[in-house]
Amino acid sequence: MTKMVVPAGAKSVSIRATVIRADGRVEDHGVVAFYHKNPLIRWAYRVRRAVKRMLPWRQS
Amino acid sequence: MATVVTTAGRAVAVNRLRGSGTEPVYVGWGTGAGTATTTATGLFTERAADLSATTGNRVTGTSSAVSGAVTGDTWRLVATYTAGGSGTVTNAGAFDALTISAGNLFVYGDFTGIGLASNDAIAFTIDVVFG
Repeated sequence: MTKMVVPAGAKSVSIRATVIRADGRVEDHGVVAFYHKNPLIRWAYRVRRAVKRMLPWRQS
Repeated sequence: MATVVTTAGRAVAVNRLRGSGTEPVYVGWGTGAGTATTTATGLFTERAADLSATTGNRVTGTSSAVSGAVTGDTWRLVATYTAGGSGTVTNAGAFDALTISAGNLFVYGDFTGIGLASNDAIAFTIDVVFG
């Protein structure tokens, strides 16, 4: 499961990944790793990711 | 998802505030699995661009200050890592040294693996918001 190591004092940290295939296709994976110091926001992120995985048409 | 703070990341921040040290603009990627800990000093099985060698260089990103809730409160690092071989990238992070296995890990995250073939690339955008 997604986990992050972040510097002290950070309010939020995110890593976004966009894959550029050798043939030129671009796949936006969106935010692949996320941290927010508010646990409710972290929970909401996990829920959004889970829903996205279950609903293929919502995948970017 | 849980979060830990590395002692190395704290040292980088303090050094930079004091006007010394090196900005952590070097992005590395890894192919291993694992759980982040507060004492983490590196990625899980960090690999070079060919996704097999464990020695070589990271990729140099470009940092900028962008505005979130407050003007200039976000440190952004953008870097594109092109694979020279095939493999699955499972984690990535920013270091303050170009050479693999050198330097301090500043920020790091693991994620669902992204499968790459040779000449595929990942454009990473790492945002750290202070507030």
